[in-house]
Amino acid sequence: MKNRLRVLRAEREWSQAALAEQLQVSRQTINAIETGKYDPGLPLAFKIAQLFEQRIEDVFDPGE
Amino acid sequence: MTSSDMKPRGWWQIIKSCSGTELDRRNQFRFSAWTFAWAVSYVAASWTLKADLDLATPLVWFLVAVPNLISIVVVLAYLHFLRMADELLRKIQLEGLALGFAAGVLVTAGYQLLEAAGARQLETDHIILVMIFSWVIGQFLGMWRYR
Repeated sequence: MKNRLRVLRAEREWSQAALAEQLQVSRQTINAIETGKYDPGLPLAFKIAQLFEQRIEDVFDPGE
Repeated sequence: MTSSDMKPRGWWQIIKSCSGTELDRRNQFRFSAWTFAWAVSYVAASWTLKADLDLATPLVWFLVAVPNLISIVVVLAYLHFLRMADELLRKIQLEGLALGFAAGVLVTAGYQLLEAAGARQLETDHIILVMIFSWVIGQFLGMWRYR
């Protein structure tokens, strides 16, 4: 699943660690999501969308 | 990309970056401390019971009960750590457990064939060691994959 997390984070000039702290997850989790190695569960995906004030489908794209 | 976003290099850095949140580290420390207490009590009880010391029955029961009671706390501490863990850390742990369990089953089944062919009998301790070793290897592999 593709996502715009890195872009959204860069727009706010947040580090991975800063974002991880706000979402109460590890920095490694943020990195794994950004690199597409890991797809977050629904609660975390909603939390991310909420934090960036976006709809969940605007952050995560299931692709083809 | 800030300096804290750099990909970790080297095993120690990977382990450090994969240890989850502060809460995970606390829960992991608690689990490790109880595991250490269990190991010490198990070795002490095992050594004492195997030595020819002519112990009173209540003391024998005590020596048997202590490691077993601590082992219950170890399981509860691990479950607590797992339930509270960061979701990626939980996934890594799950993959490690799967590898540990599978290796335990496969080694035991495989060795039974060797036993039938005349090899000496496999001890329970060895199966436990294989499972623990595979669990740890599985965690390292997960940390490496999601680093």
